[in-house]
Amino acid sequence: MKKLPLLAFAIAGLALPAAANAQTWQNAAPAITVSATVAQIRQFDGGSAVNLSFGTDGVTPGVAKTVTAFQSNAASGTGAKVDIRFNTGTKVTVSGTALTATINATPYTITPTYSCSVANDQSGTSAVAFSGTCAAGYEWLSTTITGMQFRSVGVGATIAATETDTKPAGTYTGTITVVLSASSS
Amino acid sequence: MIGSTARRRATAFGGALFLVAASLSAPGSAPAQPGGAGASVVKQLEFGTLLPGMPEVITVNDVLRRAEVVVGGQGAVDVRLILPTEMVSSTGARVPLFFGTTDAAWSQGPSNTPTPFNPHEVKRVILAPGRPDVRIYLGGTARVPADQLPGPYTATVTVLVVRPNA
Repeated sequence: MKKLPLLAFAIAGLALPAAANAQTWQNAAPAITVSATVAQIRQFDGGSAVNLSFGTDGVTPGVAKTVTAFQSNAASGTGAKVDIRFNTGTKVTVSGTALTATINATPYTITPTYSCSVANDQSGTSAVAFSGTCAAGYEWLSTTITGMQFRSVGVGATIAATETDTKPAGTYTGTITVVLSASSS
Repeated sequence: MIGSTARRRATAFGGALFLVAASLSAPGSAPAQPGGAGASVVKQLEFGTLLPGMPEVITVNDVLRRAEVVVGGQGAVDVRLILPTEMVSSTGARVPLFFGTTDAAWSQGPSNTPTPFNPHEVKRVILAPGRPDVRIYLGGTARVPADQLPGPYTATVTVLVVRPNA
């Protein structure tokens, strides 16, 4: 009974030379795993930021003034813009401070209302306004991201007539902050 | 295509070869023949974190990230690497992989300076008793497109150790 398996091996052994010469690959075939992790990108494009300006025409006291997000006119005003890129779900939120000036040692404040949009580029192509406030933000869900996305965030502002009718002439400045974070899903 | 064929053949003949080798060595009549050879992967090829739009190169001198394979045994053997052309994510996204003509190297033992060779070509090495095992190193380049989706990607390099024809 025990000789049968040995016979089988012997037959296999006799067959070896022909098989080996016809087929030289041996039985060692380990595998190297090649691995990498492509990073999540959510960033501003350096140098792309444009400041918001109410233009060389300035703001007439007691008259409302609006600069739209992707407006670009030296005289009438230019919206703030910054390019962003991301390859994962991203939310952008914007906040802006009041505009302040100190005139004759007295501080004055103008509070604008900011409006925000996103577009495919700084020209405002396919611009979409935030559905809510700038602080509520705009998001691209991760399920909609099919690769690196390039967008521009635009910020406009409106100064109501009542904000300027009692303010002295001068240059008022403030700060707009754009924040990128992970989307809700 | 060549690699694919070779792998199928190796699969088809692998079991038979193993049985035969066992039957030859058991009686102790095989010493005149070159002994068996084998390879084991002791280090994977690890690119780490890649940035979209930025190619990443691992040279064969990059001891932290290059792959390392130890080939042991006796006699002449040919080492062939079946190289992938891309890494793939779980969702099917792909990162192209490239292997240049100096992206592989070999050395006799871990302390000797590796000698480059073309990973697309078969490398013959001589394994001798009393000499250190042969080490095969592999680097490569990942070219991540600028619009690449984030996440983990993997590929496989198959290492075939071949006994040359007599």
